[in-house]
Amino acid sequence: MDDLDDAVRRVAAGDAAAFRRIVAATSATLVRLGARITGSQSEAEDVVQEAYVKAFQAISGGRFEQRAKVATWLRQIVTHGAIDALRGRARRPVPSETVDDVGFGVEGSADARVALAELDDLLRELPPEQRAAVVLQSVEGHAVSEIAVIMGCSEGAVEQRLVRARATLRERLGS
Amino acid sequence: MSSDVHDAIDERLARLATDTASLRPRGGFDDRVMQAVAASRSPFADGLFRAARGFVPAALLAAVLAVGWAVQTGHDADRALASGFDAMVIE
Repeated sequence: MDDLDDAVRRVAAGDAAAFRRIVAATSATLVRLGARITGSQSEAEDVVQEAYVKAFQAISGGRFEQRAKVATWLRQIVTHGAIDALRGRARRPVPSETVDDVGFGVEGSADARVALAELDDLLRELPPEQRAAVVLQSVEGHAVSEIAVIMGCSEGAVEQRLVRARATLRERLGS
Repeated sequence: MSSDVHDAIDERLARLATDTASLRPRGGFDDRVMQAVAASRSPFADGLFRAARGFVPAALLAAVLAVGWAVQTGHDADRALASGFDAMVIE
């Protein structure tokens, strides 16, 4: 049995401490995903923390049916959380000092800090769903079918988002 | 031109994927998550929910037995009424 599946069973049976195994095995990947979508390490950590709380409540409340793999399910929650965070940012513009901070406080190499800021700048004009689709495909390396599962939409919808995103990026880079 | 730009986008995204691969949560992140998880828990609600889950099979059995008892009692009452009516007719 998968170690994560075993941890899920234990949490569902009331062993809350077993949830730490799930966090330890997935937090690096999920924070990286969240940071790549939002362009901000601190925002990604908030999104991922909230995702873990939701996941814990679902598992301990018996609402996680294990039809999807735990890791994929967590990716779904984080992706939706990151999209919501981007929408919230669009509704309430980030104060300039926070914009300056985007990319700072990043754990990892200096190159990673610079690269995250560059990625954020490159994708800045894309709507949240298109931005997430581009990150999942071209940065995280997922196939369209996997992205459809993670984003909870059809493969056609994913392809449409990717085509539109690429058109925007082409226009921007070509000008 | 268009395919050059297309290639440039792919190459740039591939490079950014490699360069951001070393991103990881800041120190103590897992501990902060576990604290948030613990804060979200209500021990009373947890205990109540777990106890309630244990009660579900017993409650289902009780419901089935109650329906069976009600049907049986209904039949007995009908039979008693019918025999009372027969006795009245004979008189």
